[in-house]
Amino acid sequence: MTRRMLTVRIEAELEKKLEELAREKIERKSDIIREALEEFIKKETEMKEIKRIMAKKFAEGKISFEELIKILGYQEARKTAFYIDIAKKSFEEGLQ
Amino acid sequence: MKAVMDTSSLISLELSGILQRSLKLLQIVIPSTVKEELEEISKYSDEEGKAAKLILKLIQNKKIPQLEIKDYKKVENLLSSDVDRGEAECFVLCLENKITILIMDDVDAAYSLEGLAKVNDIKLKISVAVIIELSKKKIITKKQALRAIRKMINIREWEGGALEVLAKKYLKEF
Repeated sequence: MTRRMLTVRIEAELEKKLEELAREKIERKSDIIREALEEFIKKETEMKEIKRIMAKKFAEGKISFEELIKILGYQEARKTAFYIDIAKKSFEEGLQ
Repeated sequence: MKAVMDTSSLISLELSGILQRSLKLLQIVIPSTVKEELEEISKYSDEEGKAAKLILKLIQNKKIPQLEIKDYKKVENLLSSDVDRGEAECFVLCLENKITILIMDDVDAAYSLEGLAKVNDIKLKISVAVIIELSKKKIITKKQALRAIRKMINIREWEGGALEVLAKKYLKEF
Protein backbone atom coordinates (compact mmCIF):
# COMPACT_ATOMS: atom_id res chain seq x y z
CA MET A 1 0.00 0.00 0.00
CA THR A 2 1.31 3.44 -0.92
CA ARG A 3 2.13 5.55 2.08
CA ARG A 4 1.65 9.29 2.13
CA MET A 5 3.28 11.83 4.37
CA LEU A 6 1.22 13.80 6.86
CA THR A 7 2.50 16.69 8.96
CA VAL A 8 0.93 17.19 12.38
CA ARG A 9 1.89 19.77 15.01
CA ILE A 10 1.95 18.48 18.59
CA GLU A 11 2.87 20.00 21.95
CA ALA A 12 6.49 19.54 23.19
CA GLU A 13 5.17 17.68 26.25
CA LEU A 14 3.36 15.15 24.06
CA GLU A 15 6.43 14.67 21.88
CA LYS A 16 8.52 13.97 24.99
CA LYS A 17 6.07 11.26 26.07
CA LEU A 18 6.10 9.82 22.55
CA GLU A 19 9.93 9.67 22.58
CA GLU A 20 9.91 7.87 25.95
CA LEU A 21 7.39 5.34 24.66
CA ALA A 22 9.37 4.79 21.45
CA ARG A 23 12.51 4.07 23.52
CA GLU A 24 10.62 1.66 25.81
CA LYS A 25 9.02 -0.23 22.92
CA ILE A 26 12.07 0.04 20.65
CA GLU A 27 9.85 1.34 17.89
CA ARG A 28 9.93 4.36 15.62
CA LYS A 29 7.80 7.33 16.63
CA SER A 30 6.04 7.25 13.26
CA ASP A 31 5.08 3.57 13.77
CA ILE A 32 3.57 4.34 17.18
CA ILE A 33 1.59 7.26 15.74
CA ARG A 34 0.37 5.12 12.80
CA GLU A 35 -0.76 2.29 15.12
CA ALA A 36 -2.52 4.77 17.46
CA LEU A 37 -4.30 6.40 14.52
CA GLU A 38 -5.40 3.05 13.09
CA GLU A 39 -6.71 1.98 16.50
CA PHE A 40 -8.55 5.29 16.99
CA ILE A 41 -10.24 5.11 13.57
CA LYS A 42 -11.23 1.47 14.18
CA LYS A 43 -12.77 2.32 17.56
CA GLU A 44 -14.61 5.38 16.18
CA THR A 45 -16.04 3.33 13.30
CA GLU A 46 -17.19 0.57 15.68
CA MET A 47 -18.68 3.15 18.05
CA LYS A 48 -20.66 4.76 15.21
CA GLU A 49 -22.11 1.38 14.26
CA ILE A 50 -22.99 0.59 17.90
CA LYS A 51 -24.59 4.04 18.26
CA ARG A 52 -26.58 3.54 15.06
CA ILE A 53 -27.99 0.22 16.28
CA MET A 54 -28.68 1.49 19.82
CA ALA A 55 -30.27 4.76 18.64
CA LYS A 56 -32.54 2.75 16.37
CA LYS A 57 -33.56 0.36 19.17
CA PHE A 58 -34.14 3.27 21.57
CA ALA A 59 -36.26 5.13 19.00
CA GLU A 60 -38.29 1.94 18.48
CA GLY A 61 -38.83 1.67 22.23
CA LYS A 62 -37.07 -1.71 22.33
CA ILE A 63 -34.55 -0.64 24.97
CA SER A 64 -34.86 1.68 27.98
CA PHE A 65 -32.74 4.75 28.74
CA GLU A 66 -31.01 2.76 31.52
CA GLU A 67 -30.01 0.08 29.01
CA LEU A 68 -28.79 2.79 26.66
CA ILE A 69 -26.57 4.16 29.48
CA LYS A 70 -25.12 0.69 30.14
CA ILE A 71 -24.04 0.33 26.52
CA LEU A 72 -23.02 3.87 25.52
CA GLY A 73 -22.16 5.44 28.87
CA TYR A 74 -24.16 8.26 30.49
CA GLN A 75 -23.01 11.18 28.35
CA GLU A 76 -23.43 9.46 24.97
CA ALA A 77 -26.79 7.99 26.06
CA ARG A 78 -28.05 11.48 26.96
CA LYS A 79 -26.88 12.87 23.62
CA THR A 80 -28.61 10.01 21.77
CA ALA A 81 -31.86 10.51 23.71
CA PHE A 82 -31.62 14.27 23.09
CA TYR A 83 -31.20 13.71 19.34
CA ILE A 84 -34.19 11.37 19.18
CA ASP A 85 -36.29 13.91 21.08
CA ILE A 86 -35.29 16.77 18.75
CA ALA A 87 -35.89 14.51 15.71
CA LYS A 88 -39.36 13.52 17.00
CA LYS A 89 -40.26 17.20 17.41
CA SER A 90 -38.97 17.91 13.91
CA PHE A 91 -41.28 15.22 12.46
CA GLU A 92 -44.24 16.37 14.58
CA GLU A 93 -43.90 20.15 14.32
CA GLY A 94 -41.67 20.91 11.34
CA LEU A 95 -40.20 24.38 11.97
CA GLN A 96 -43.06 25.55 14.24
CA MET B 1 -39.33 32.96 8.22
CA LYS B 2 -35.64 33.49 9.02
CA ALA B 3 -33.23 30.79 10.19
CA VAL B 4 -29.52 30.32 10.83
CA MET B 5 -28.01 27.08 9.52
CA ASP B 6 -24.77 25.34 10.40
CA THR B 7 -22.48 23.71 7.81
CA SER B 8 -23.71 20.14 8.36
CA SER B 9 -27.40 21.03 7.89
CA LEU B 10 -26.66 23.02 4.72
CA ILE B 11 -24.74 20.05 3.30
CA SER B 12 -27.47 17.58 4.37
CA LEU B 13 -30.20 19.64 2.68
CA GLU B 14 -28.15 20.12 -0.49
CA LEU B 15 -27.37 16.39 -0.69
CA SER B 16 -31.07 15.65 -0.12
CA GLY B 17 -31.78 17.83 -3.14
CA ILE B 18 -33.97 20.43 -1.46
CA LEU B 19 -31.74 23.30 -0.32
CA GLN B 20 -32.74 25.59 -3.23
CA ARG B 21 -36.44 24.91 -2.64
CA SER B 22 -35.93 25.62 1.10
CA LEU B 23 -35.17 29.21 0.08
CA LYS B 24 -38.81 29.60 -1.00
CA LEU B 25 -39.81 29.02 2.62
CA LEU B 26 -36.85 30.28 4.59
CA GLN B 27 -34.46 33.15 4.53
CA ILE B 28 -31.30 31.29 5.48
CA VAL B 29 -28.44 33.32 6.94
CA ILE B 30 -24.95 32.16 7.93
CA PRO B 31 -21.91 33.51 9.79
CA SER B 32 -18.46 33.85 8.17
CA THR B 33 -17.00 30.64 9.64
CA VAL B 34 -19.72 28.51 8.01
CA LYS B 35 -18.65 29.94 4.64
CA GLU B 36 -15.00 29.18 5.48
CA GLU B 37 -15.92 25.59 6.45
CA LEU B 38 -17.76 25.18 3.14
CA GLU B 39 -14.71 26.52 1.27
CA GLU B 40 -12.59 23.90 3.05
CA ILE B 41 -15.02 21.06 2.20
CA SER B 42 -15.29 22.25 -1.43
CA LYS B 43 -11.61 21.37 -1.95
CA TYR B 44 -12.58 17.67 -1.95
CA SER B 45 -13.97 16.00 -5.06
CA ASP B 46 -16.46 13.74 -3.21
CA GLU B 47 -20.25 14.28 -2.92
CA GLU B 48 -19.90 16.63 0.05
CA GLY B 49 -17.28 18.66 -1.79
CA LYS B 50 -19.61 19.06 -4.78
CA ALA B 51 -22.49 20.02 -2.48
CA ALA B 52 -20.29 22.62 -0.74
CA LYS B 53 -19.42 24.18 -4.13
CA LEU B 54 -23.12 24.55 -4.99
CA ILE B 55 -23.88 26.12 -1.60
CA LEU B 56 -20.99 28.56 -2.07
CA LYS B 57 -22.60 29.65 -5.35
CA LEU B 58 -25.83 30.42 -3.48
CA ILE B 59 -23.80 32.47 -0.98
CA GLN B 60 -21.98 34.27 -3.81
CA ASN B 61 -25.33 35.13 -5.45
CA LYS B 62 -26.57 36.46 -2.07
CA LYS B 63 -29.35 33.87 -1.98
CA ILE B 64 -27.87 32.81 1.35
CA PRO B 65 -26.61 36.02 2.98
CA GLN B 66 -23.62 36.05 5.27
CA LEU B 67 -24.06 38.23 8.37
CA GLU B 68 -21.25 39.64 10.50
CA ILE B 69 -20.88 38.89 14.21
CA LYS B 70 -20.90 42.05 16.34
CA ASP B 71 -19.47 40.68 19.57
CA TYR B 72 -16.84 37.94 19.15
CA LYS B 73 -16.44 37.62 22.94
CA LYS B 74 -19.81 35.83 23.00
CA VAL B 75 -18.47 33.37 20.41
CA GLU B 76 -15.30 32.72 22.44
CA ASN B 77 -17.42 32.01 25.54
CA LEU B 78 -19.36 29.27 23.74
CA LEU B 79 -16.36 27.37 22.36
CA SER B 80 -15.76 23.90 23.80
CA SER B 81 -14.75 20.42 22.66
CA ASP B 82 -18.34 19.93 21.44
CA VAL B 83 -19.04 23.41 20.07
CA ASP B 84 -16.69 24.62 17.35
CA ARG B 85 -16.37 28.18 16.01
CA GLY B 86 -18.93 27.69 13.22
CA GLU B 87 -21.64 26.47 15.56
CA ALA B 88 -20.84 29.10 18.20
CA GLU B 89 -21.10 31.85 15.56
CA CYS B 90 -24.44 30.42 14.38
CA PHE B 91 -25.78 30.67 17.92
CA VAL B 92 -24.49 34.24 18.43
CA LEU B 93 -25.94 35.26 15.06
CA CYS B 94 -29.36 34.14 16.33
CA LEU B 95 -28.90 36.16 19.55
CA GLU B 96 -27.66 39.34 17.86
CA ASN B 97 -30.30 39.35 15.11
CA LYS B 98 -33.23 38.01 17.18
CA ILE B 99 -33.52 34.98 14.90
CA THR B 100 -35.49 32.28 16.70
CA ILE B 101 -34.75 29.24 14.50
CA LEU B 102 -31.37 27.55 14.54
CA ILE B 103 -31.02 24.53 12.27
CA MET B 104 -28.11 22.39 13.37
CA ASP B 105 -27.33 18.78 12.48
CA ASP B 106 -24.27 18.47 14.72
CA VAL B 107 -25.62 16.51 17.69
CA ASP B 108 -22.75 17.30 20.08
CA ALA B 109 -23.07 21.04 19.52
CA ALA B 110 -26.88 21.06 19.66
CA TYR B 111 -26.78 19.07 22.91
CA SER B 112 -24.29 21.53 24.45
CA LEU B 113 -26.28 24.58 23.35
CA GLU B 114 -29.72 23.21 24.31
CA GLY B 115 -29.97 24.98 27.69
CA LEU B 116 -28.86 28.36 26.38
CA ALA B 117 -31.21 28.03 23.43
CA LYS B 118 -34.19 27.47 25.74
CA VAL B 119 -33.30 30.45 27.91
CA ASN B 120 -33.02 32.68 24.82
CA ASP B 121 -36.17 31.35 23.08
CA ILE B 122 -34.19 29.89 20.20
CA LYS B 123 -35.76 26.78 18.66
CA LEU B 124 -33.12 24.16 17.86
CA LYS B 125 -34.13 22.07 14.85
CA ILE B 126 -32.50 19.45 12.66
CA SER B 127 -32.66 19.66 8.86
CA VAL B 128 -35.44 17.04 8.65
CA ALA B 129 -37.74 19.74 10.09
CA VAL B 130 -37.17 21.80 6.93
CA ILE B 131 -38.32 18.89 4.72
CA ILE B 132 -41.45 18.41 6.88
CA GLU B 133 -42.24 22.14 6.76
CA LEU B 134 -41.76 22.29 2.97
CA SER B 135 -44.17 19.36 2.62
CA LYS B 136 -46.72 20.96 5.01
CA LYS B 137 -46.61 24.21 3.05
CA LYS B 138 -46.92 22.22 -0.21
CA ILE B 139 -43.69 23.68 -1.61
CA ILE B 140 -42.65 20.08 -2.26
CA THR B 141 -44.90 17.06 -2.80
CA LYS B 142 -45.14 14.22 -0.27
CA LYS B 143 -43.26 12.04 -2.74
CA GLN B 144 -40.41 14.57 -2.93
CA ALA B 145 -40.36 14.84 0.88
CA LEU B 146 -40.11 11.06 1.27
CA ARG B 147 -37.30 10.91 -1.27
CA ALA B 148 -35.41 13.69 0.54
CA ILE B 149 -35.85 11.95 3.91
CA ARG B 150 -34.59 8.65 2.47
CA LYS B 151 -31.49 10.46 1.20
CA MET B 152 -31.08 12.13 4.60
CA ILE B 153 -31.18 8.71 6.34
CA ASN B 154 -28.27 7.58 4.18
CA ILE B 155 -26.29 10.80 4.61
CA ARG B 156 -26.40 11.05 8.40
CA GLU B 157 -24.14 8.61 10.22
CA TRP B 158 -25.50 6.94 13.36
CA GLU B 159 -28.46 9.32 13.38
CA GLY B 160 -29.79 7.73 10.18
CA GLY B 161 -30.97 4.64 12.09
CA ALA B 162 -33.16 6.70 14.42
CA LEU B 163 -34.44 8.88 11.56
CA GLU B 164 -35.58 5.76 9.69
CA VAL B 165 -37.59 4.53 12.70
CA LEU B 166 -39.20 7.95 13.20
CA ALA B 167 -39.98 8.37 9.50
CA LYS B 168 -41.86 5.04 9.59
CA LYS B 169 -43.71 6.15 12.74
CA TYR B 170 -44.73 9.63 11.58
CA LEU B 171 -45.07 9.28 7.81
CA LYS B 172 -47.67 6.70 6.79
CA GLU B 173 -46.39 6.45 3.22
CA PHE B 174 -42.79 5.79 4.27
